[in-house]
Amino acid sequence: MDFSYSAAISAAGMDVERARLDAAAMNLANVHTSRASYGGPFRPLRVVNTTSPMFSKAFSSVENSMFSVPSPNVQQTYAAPRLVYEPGHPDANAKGFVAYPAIDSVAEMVNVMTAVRSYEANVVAMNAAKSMALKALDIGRGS
Amino acid sequence: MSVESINSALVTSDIGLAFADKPADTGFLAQLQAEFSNVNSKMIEAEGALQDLATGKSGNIHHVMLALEDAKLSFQLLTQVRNKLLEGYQEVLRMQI
Repeated sequence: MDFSYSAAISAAGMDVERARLDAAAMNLANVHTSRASYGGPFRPLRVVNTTSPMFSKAFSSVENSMFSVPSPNVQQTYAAPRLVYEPGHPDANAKGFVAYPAIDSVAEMVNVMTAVRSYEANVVAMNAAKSMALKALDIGRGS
Repeated sequence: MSVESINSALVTSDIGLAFADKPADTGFLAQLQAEFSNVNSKMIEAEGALQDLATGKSGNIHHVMLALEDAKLSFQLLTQVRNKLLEGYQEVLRMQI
């Protein structure tokens, strides 16, 4: 059924937004992590989306080549760490500065909100596809 | 009064749905059966996804919901096909001879 195609598109969008939310939550949780398992402060995460092609019988091959669904890719960023003067901290350097990850809590909150809103948009698109399919089933009824 | 068997009338008459020269597996009934098994496998798949979610094997809620919706819609399509089929049958039954 064609509905499964529309649903797969929206599902890919929802996957991306879930990954963005997880990345933002991970950044917020590690805002004060000065010693990560890989050494040094925690490296902030960013979701970089790549696209993968998707084929539908509803479109021609030329149109299909333009159709691609996103797939999330979580990557570490290497921004310069935030240095805070905290002498006596176990991770402080010779001058007394502790390197914290360069995470902006406000920006991460904005990321969380946009991820939630975009997820909602994907749900709305999927529901629209569903009601379209249900309307198609109504054809010829009630005569 | 002798009552003629219905069976003999059905075998000799052809209402045009099935063609004798066509292979049996491309008939309408075979297509319907394929659709039945398709819907059945979708429902099994949705149930498996639901079980995975309940047992904590997968935490992807939207994929489970999509599988459920897909199964529900395919079942509704099948129900509509069945309704249309039954409508046609009843129309034939109402026919005055």
